[in-house]
Amino acid sequence: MDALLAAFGHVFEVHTLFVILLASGLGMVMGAIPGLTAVMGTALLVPFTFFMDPVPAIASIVALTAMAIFAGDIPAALVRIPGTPASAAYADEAYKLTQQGQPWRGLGMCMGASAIGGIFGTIVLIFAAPALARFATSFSSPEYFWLGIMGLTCAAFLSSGSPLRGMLALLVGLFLSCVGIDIATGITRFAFGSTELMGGVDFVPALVGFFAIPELIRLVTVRETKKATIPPYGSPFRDLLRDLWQWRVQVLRGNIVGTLIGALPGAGADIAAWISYAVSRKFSRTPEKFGTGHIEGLAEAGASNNSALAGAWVPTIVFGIPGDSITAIVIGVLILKGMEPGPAIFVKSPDLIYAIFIVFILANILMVPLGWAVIRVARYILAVPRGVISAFILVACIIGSYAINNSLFDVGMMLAMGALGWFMEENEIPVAPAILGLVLGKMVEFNFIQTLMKGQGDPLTLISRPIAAVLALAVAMIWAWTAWSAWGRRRAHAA
Amino acid sequence: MRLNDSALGVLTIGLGGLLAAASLRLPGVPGQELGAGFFPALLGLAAMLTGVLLVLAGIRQSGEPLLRLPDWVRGGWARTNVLVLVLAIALFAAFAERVGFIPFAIAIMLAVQLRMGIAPLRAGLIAVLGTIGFHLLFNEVLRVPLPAGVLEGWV
Repeated sequence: MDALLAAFGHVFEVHTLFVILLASGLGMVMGAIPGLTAVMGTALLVPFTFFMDPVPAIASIVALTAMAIFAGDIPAALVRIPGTPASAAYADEAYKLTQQGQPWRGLGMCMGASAIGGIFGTIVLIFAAPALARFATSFSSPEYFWLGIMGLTCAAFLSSGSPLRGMLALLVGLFLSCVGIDIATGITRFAFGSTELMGGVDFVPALVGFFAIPELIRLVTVRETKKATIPPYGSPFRDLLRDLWQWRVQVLRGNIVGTLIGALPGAGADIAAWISYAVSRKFSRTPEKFGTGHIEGLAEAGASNNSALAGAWVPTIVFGIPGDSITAIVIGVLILKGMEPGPAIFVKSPDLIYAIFIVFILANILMVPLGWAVIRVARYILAVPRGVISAFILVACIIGSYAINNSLFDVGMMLAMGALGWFMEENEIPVAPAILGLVLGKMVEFNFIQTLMKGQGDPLTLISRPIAAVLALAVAMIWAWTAWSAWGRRRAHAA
Repeated sequence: MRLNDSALGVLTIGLGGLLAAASLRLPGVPGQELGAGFFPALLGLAAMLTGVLLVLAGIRQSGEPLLRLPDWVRGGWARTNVLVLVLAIALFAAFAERVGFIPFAIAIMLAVQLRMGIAPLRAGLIAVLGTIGFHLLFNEVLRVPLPAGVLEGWV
């Protein structure tokens, strides 16, 4: 109870509220501009969080991502270009409504369903996370090793179509985490004589390089097409309550499916939206209306992607296993702030956990007035030329990498990581497992070596405790299942 | 720059081998059986195994060119844009200490905008105002000492 009061105290400080409002505004604008994603926004926000206390730092990420995922719907509805990948599933549907002269209905439903979805996901988070954490409090180094491996495994195998490429990404990240002084032995590894590299590859320049540089390259290599004309539109609240009531079952189903998919490690808001749209069509009484400007799928998928965002935090804070790319970054930020995510965080800083819950609710309530305001000015945001956006993003990347250690070396590191990230994207190697490997690598190695040393080098020590053995079995099953399905696909392909 | 599966696999085997070899050469710690090289050596081995599987996958996939370059490498406009982007970051990392953040940021923002077809006057105005904004935010609000460079003593 004291922790809850403390959490309210943290969140309702003027400074924190100001940060939330600012991050929300930024998230709305970034989401509404096609080409700038919620993940990129989070990556560029991280350097700022470095200068904040833990609660405003996490609050800013929560607010920015919630707004960006919703705001991605705005250009999808107005010009048929999804602002973030999470809106791609129903961009066509929302745009058809605009073409039929009812843009406010699509926009309003996206806003209403997003807010409801976000709040539903948060409620699940509030009830599920502490219950799971209680179970996880008796864990020791072998369990943490397996949890780490499980998180890395899920990220590698579920985040892309090809498990081998996911594995490759993971190995890149784990290797990067080895650079610098080894904490267990004090020996410097792979620093090539550079004093800067002795401290290791810093998380922030790597993050900015991996997530922002490939997007920036995309932004400057595609010519701006002629802007589509945006028809005048009225208030998004018009018809909203009627539509929400009519499609209440779909919104609820979108909430449930979205939260579950979000909580699944490796799958995030974009996958949730695609699946919910498909589910909605399957159960619809009028599936033939889908794709013609029908609001049913929009309601379900629009609720789904925002609830997935909150769902992804369940495994993140309970086990330190991220649900999606954004929470992979969150884990890095928590570690930077000296808080290792995992069940212990519920005992050590329960106020932080409650604060996260409160911020989630607050952000999703804020989404309605802010969403209304952004929808009003959307035509001006969409008119900002790509050249101006690119210039600002580039300087933000440079200064963000520099600001962490006041080091120009980090700017060079960001460029190197950007080149690596770009190469990986070109080869369809997912970036998120690499970031996760970099963040969790030291922890996994430390627990691995420590457990082995406890058992004098006997590898069976890793599965000597019952929960550790169960976790190991789960990991083995994920590996076996991945191998089996890859094998099955290949045979089906050959036949 | 897309490699086909076989080429990516060979590259992975090579890099994994290098990593394993370099890890095994790391010094051990007296009285401790697992040295600093143990974990990275495992990573190197895992990379080699992944590489072998990629090569095997590549053998089945026929007709993929060894290396496919992105479209913008051929087009002059987009290629120059990427070059400007990379040069901006590299030159900043190398010379920002001497030149300073403000002149550098104005130059970068101006260059990118002009390349992307923004009218010069507008681009100049946005570059100057944007740079002042960044400077105020980082130098004044967040207290990050940005390199002053040639403007030392002025800002």
